[in-house]
Order: sequence, then C-alpha cells, then structure tokens
Amino acid sequence: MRPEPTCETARELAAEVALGIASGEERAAVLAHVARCAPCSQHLVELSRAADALLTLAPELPPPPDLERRVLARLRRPRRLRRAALAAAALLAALALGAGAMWAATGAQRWEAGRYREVLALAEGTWYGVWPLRAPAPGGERDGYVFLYRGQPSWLFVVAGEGDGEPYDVVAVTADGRRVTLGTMAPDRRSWGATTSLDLRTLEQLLLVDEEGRVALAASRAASAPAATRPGGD
Amino acid sequence: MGEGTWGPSDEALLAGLASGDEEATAAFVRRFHRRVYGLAFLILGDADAASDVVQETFLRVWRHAEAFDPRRGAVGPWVLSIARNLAVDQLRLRRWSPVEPATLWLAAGPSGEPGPEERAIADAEAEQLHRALGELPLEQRRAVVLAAFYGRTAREISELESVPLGTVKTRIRSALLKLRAALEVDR
Repeated sequence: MRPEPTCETARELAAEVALGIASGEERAAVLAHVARCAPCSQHLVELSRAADALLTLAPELPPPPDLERRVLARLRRPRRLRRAALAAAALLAALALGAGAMWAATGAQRWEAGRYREVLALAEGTWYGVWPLRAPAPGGERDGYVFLYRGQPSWLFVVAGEGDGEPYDVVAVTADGRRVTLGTMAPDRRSWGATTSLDLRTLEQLLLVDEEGRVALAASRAASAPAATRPGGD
Repeated sequence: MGEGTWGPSDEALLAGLASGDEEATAAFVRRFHRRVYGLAFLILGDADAASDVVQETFLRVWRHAEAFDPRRGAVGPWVLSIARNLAVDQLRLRRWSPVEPATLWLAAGPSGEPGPEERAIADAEAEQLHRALGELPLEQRRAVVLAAFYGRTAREISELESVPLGTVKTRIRSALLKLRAALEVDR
C-alpha cells in the first residue's frame, strides 16, 4: 500500500483521474487524498467538469432510423420488471405482517402454492426456494421459513416463530464458506426481508445468530425440500 | 402539449425517466440520442457498434438516474461520459487503434449541427471550450483528445507519439488546466 499522496502528487495526477485514464491505484490514491483535502477536491471537480464538457463537442449525428424505437423498447422492459419487483415487495411486506396468522390458518404449503407463485410470476422470478428454519440441535423443531427468490433484484425473506425476545443477525453462509451479515431482525418483529446482491445459487445456509454469537435458528439448502421452480412452468 | 413547446429541463426529464414516465422517457431519449450517437460514432467509427453503445447508455442512465447528483455537473455531460466509457470499453475489446478518426475530427474541428434552442446556454459554453481547444498547441490538443474521447492512457499516448511519458503527462495536464480556465471565464 502506497502512502497517501501529497497535494502536489494529487494535483499532478488529477487531470488523468478526471479524464478517466489513471490506473486504478493512482485513482484510488487521488480519491483518498481529496476525501480529506477540500482544495484538491475542488480542483478535481473542476477538471472533471472540463473533461466531461469536452465530450459535448462531439458533433451530433442522426442515428439509424429505428434506433430511438429500439432504445425505448429496451427501456420499457426493465421498467416493467422494476414495477413488478416493487409490487412483489409490497405483497411480501403485507404477507409478513400477517404471516403468523396465515401459517396457522392455511399452512405454508397452500400459501406457497397459491399466492407465492403469483408473486413470483408477477416479478418474473427465475428460481425460488422455501427452506425450513430449525433450531441447530439434531432433530430441532421447525420454527419458521426462509423464502428465497431469485430475480432482479433477488430477495430473501425470513419468518421465524416465537423468538426469545432477542435481536438476531441474519447471516448468509455461501458455498465457499464465506459468512455475510445481511441485516438484523428486531426482537419485536419475527420477520425480516431484504433485497440482496448475493447470488442465491451460492447460498448454502442462512443463520439467525444471537448477540452472543450463538446460532439460534438455521436454514440450509441441504435440509430443504426441492422447491426450485420456474413460475408458470407448470 | 406539443412537442415543439414542451421544453422541461434536462433534470426534469431525467426525473421523469427515473420515475417511469413514458412521455418524459421518450422526450429524454429524443433530446439526447443524436448527441450520444454522434459521440459513440466519433469514437468507434462504426454505425452498429455506435448503436449498441447508444442503447446501453440509455439503459445505464435509467438505472442510475436516481443517483444522479446535479451538484456535480449537468445531465448532458453525465450522459455523454457514460457513453464515452462504454465506447472506450468497446474499443479496448476490439484492440483497434482509433487514431485516424481523432486526427480527422481535429483537423475538421468539432462543428456538429446547430443544437435546439434549449441548448443555447450549453452551446455558449461549448463554443468557449471549442475555442480554447483550438488554441491549444497541437500536441496538447492531440493528447487531451486521445485521453478524453478514446480513453488512451498517458503511457499509450507516449508510445503512439514516441515521446517520453513525463512529457505526455505534462501535455495532458496543461491542456486540461487551460480548458478548465476557459470554462471559468463565463461564470
């Protein structure tokens, strides 16, 4: 690791950073410097503005006749996807509120087969899983579910049964053994959900870890019924 | 509202694009696609490749629209910088040396077609910058154009022009400092 550059070095490199042609290392060094040096930061902003303004000098050209239509068509698709993902998020949140009651009334199976599939179809999801959450002891009781939904974006949704009033960290364990803390489940809410940039295909386990670092509940790919499907595929 | 009289700011159209407003999206694309295509074509010299860059540029603009920070610059240059980065990525994939277009463009000077009315302010600034670019010594102009448009690093330019690396770095820096000064004049 190089020492952080002086103002002089940062200014020598600033033009190349502004033009986007500095090496990654140089760029990182200059950015680290300007994060703490207001005059150099201002200098870099002004040079970047000049570098960007230069691009406006490129002559306008009439694009091929159908390009505008193709661009708009491509923009329409992801917008639909995002709207669908938002709808899915809202539906999942609504379900979370009533999850406990719904469990008792209908059983997870029926729920899964019905509305969950609807949600997935709506958001054009490509894969999902439902993993039971269990206490880590052998033969531990099922005490909730983890719902996994792979799409744009991917979702993880955890519903636990009656907890012991403690907050849990939600920790993902990936196939290469990496542990990633995704968030915290508050003690008064027995559900937690979030979008994630994790590739869910690499997710092996999801752990609820208490403040002492003990695993309170765990769900794993190995212990789950094969629930992967494509919405509308049946 | 008729197309001719509908003149919201670039920022307003971008906000519309981000929120999924179809009319704003179409207006945004219409406002920028000639500029984006012109830049991509200048860099790549190929209509198909330039069209791909245009499509990808608008997709990225849409994805990042909500993160756009107007305090850091105007919408136009931001959109163009996205297009430039995509085009430079394409260039690097092709390992194709784009020196001729740069030279041709420099010789002819950036002319372009007259921009629409809403570009009046931007045009004044562009004119200022254009003049400053024209006043640069040729070797500085080449260096800064190769860097800004074609993503050529100082080392690549030094090999291309057979001049020491330090000299190229100085040329790039001097050129950009002068261009910055030119932009400050009218503020």
